[in-house]
Amino acid sequence: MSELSVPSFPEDRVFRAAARDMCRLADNPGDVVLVVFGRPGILTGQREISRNDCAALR
Amino acid sequence: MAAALAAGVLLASRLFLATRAFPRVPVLDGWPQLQPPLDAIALGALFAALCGVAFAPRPRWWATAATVLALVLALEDQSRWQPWFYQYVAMIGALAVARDSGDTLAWRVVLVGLYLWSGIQKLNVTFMARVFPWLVEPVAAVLPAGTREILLPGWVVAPMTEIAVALGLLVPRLRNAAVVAAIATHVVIFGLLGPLAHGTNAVIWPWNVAMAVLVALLFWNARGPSALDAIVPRRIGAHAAMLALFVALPVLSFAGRWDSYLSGELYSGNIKVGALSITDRVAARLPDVVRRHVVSDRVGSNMLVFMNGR
Repeated sequence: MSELSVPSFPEDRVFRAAARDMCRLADNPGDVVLVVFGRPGILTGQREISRNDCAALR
Repeated sequence: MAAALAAGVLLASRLFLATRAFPRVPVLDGWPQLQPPLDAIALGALFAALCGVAFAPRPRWWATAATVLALVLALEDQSRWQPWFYQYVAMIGALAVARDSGDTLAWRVVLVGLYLWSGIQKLNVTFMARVFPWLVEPVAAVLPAGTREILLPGWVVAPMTEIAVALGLLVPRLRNAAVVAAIATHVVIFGLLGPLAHGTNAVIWPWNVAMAVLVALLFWNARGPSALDAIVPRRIGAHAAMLALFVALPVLSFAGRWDSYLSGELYSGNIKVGALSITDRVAARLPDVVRRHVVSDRVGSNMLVFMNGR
């Protein structure tokens, strides 16, 4: 997000929109995969990780 | 406040224009997007309205115009809902609709909510283990060896100070002390993130200055209102709306029902991180402005990281 001089808005909706935009450059669904590391646990710091390729983002 | 919003928008002007690589994300699906030159015209109109807010003897109508224009820009891209933008627009909106001295009370509640949630959100292990050590790195680097071990356990001072400031601002007898602590906090934050240390996220530098000025103007030697009057609205209006937006609703962030940046989570470590894993073929097709941010991860995959988790 240095292009915009601000940190990215950290929500799925924004991540998914950016990923879908990138999917326009992909030949195959697996060429672009959105990886989201969820909010960390308050006490553990552990994050849930989700992965979605272009097919799943449609 | 109008000047601070104008400064933030100027420093991040590409965020508010249509000509950029990062896509705009409308808040509502199908919301119409401004195309050039309408985007620049809307931004220019916002600056004009902000000048009216700053200089007009009766700024209410200018504040209404600025709020409407800011909302138009906010609705067409969720990335624009940066914490500083959200705060300023809410405060200018309160100026537009408040009656009597209701705007001052509404503004005070905004600041109390911001300090409170900013402190609460930092009470987590990621802030302790990752964000705080990164924040104080410029200081730790110049301290004698061994001092770092003393500095790092002090992470809890940051959230507790912010929470204490919020509570202190509510109690008339403690207000001046809370103002001093708040200004000291902003000086430290500006020192750490500013040009002499990390030199990062320049858009929040004027925000820090504005917050220090606002907290002094709104709370120094202020005898009223009482804590009860501040947290219990007497009627539906700007004060009640600010209480809902800045004090009550952020609690929903813990259930994932209220956005992180509307809940004091900037630099809390308590946010989601997004990244794109892309093939060489896709990387080669990216515009230069985006491709230079592609990095290799541990296994050699191309990664484009939106957020660094701070």
